[in-house]
Amino acid sequence: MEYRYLLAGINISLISIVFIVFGIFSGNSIVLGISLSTLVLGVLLITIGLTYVPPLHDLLKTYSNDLTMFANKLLEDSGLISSHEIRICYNKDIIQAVFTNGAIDCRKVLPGIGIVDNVPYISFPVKDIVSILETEYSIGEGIELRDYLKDILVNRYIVSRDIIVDRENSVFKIELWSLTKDAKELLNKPVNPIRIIVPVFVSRFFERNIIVMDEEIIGNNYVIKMRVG
Amino acid sequence: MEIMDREIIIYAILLTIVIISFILIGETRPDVYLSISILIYFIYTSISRNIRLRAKLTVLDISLLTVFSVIVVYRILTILEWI
Repeated sequence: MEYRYLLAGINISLISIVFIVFGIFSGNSIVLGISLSTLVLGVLLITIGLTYVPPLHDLLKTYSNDLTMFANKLLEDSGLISSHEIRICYNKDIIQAVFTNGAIDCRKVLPGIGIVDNVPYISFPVKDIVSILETEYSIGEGIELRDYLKDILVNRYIVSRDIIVDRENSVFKIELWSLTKDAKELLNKPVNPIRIIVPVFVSRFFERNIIVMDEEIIGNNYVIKMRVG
Repeated sequence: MEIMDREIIIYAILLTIVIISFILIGETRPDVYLSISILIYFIYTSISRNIRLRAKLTVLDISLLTVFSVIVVYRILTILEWI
């Protein structure tokens, strides 16, 4: 979505509609004709505004898909594909999304592929996305986790239409309500941005490690349960 | 200026030229203004690929094509004196 075009389109369309009404009631067919022509421009701008895709978007999407395939292959070769769990290892200097099949000491995890106490893992550093968002979304007193996640996942990246957060002690159940088509497509692969970014933002919010306990896709909703460590 | 901005401005200028031309020749039929605007839209967006590459215009295409068809059918029926 591109608000500049949308705003211009709405303005042009509204003015055109006013003149169309004027043209009809005054019987001035030239004004009516001009207004109808202008309405085409207005509707075109609204359509562009609503459906605009940034130029690099498609290329990055393809590249991201290729990288995801590579990450999935790594997961497969490490024997983690069927029985892995996701942990987010939080550190002031680096945040890592770790795929492993057992308890692992976050302090010993390094970005890449490795083994800690006979437990294999694959770790992705995800500091960039968090640091970009930190300049736009502040975490402070009085800000709820739901509002923070909603701002990022619903309002900015439109991953889903709404978000529900339930808390039971240190266990959080986060429900992404009514996933968008793009988000649902991403969830088909074992390693995908949605599975990673939700616990990453929770980890950033609490500045703690996260263990993803359960995930489920129910209809058009994605439910993820995690423990804040 | 972005390519997209430039292309939209060119489309707006084309539309303005056509509208002014119609006013100058004294055209008073509103459906002529509308149908020519729709034609310009289709021709311009076919030649200039950027708009179509960056925006999804399918719904607008179908809507405008329907409006254009209705205008053409209306004109044919008028010529045949069926309405």
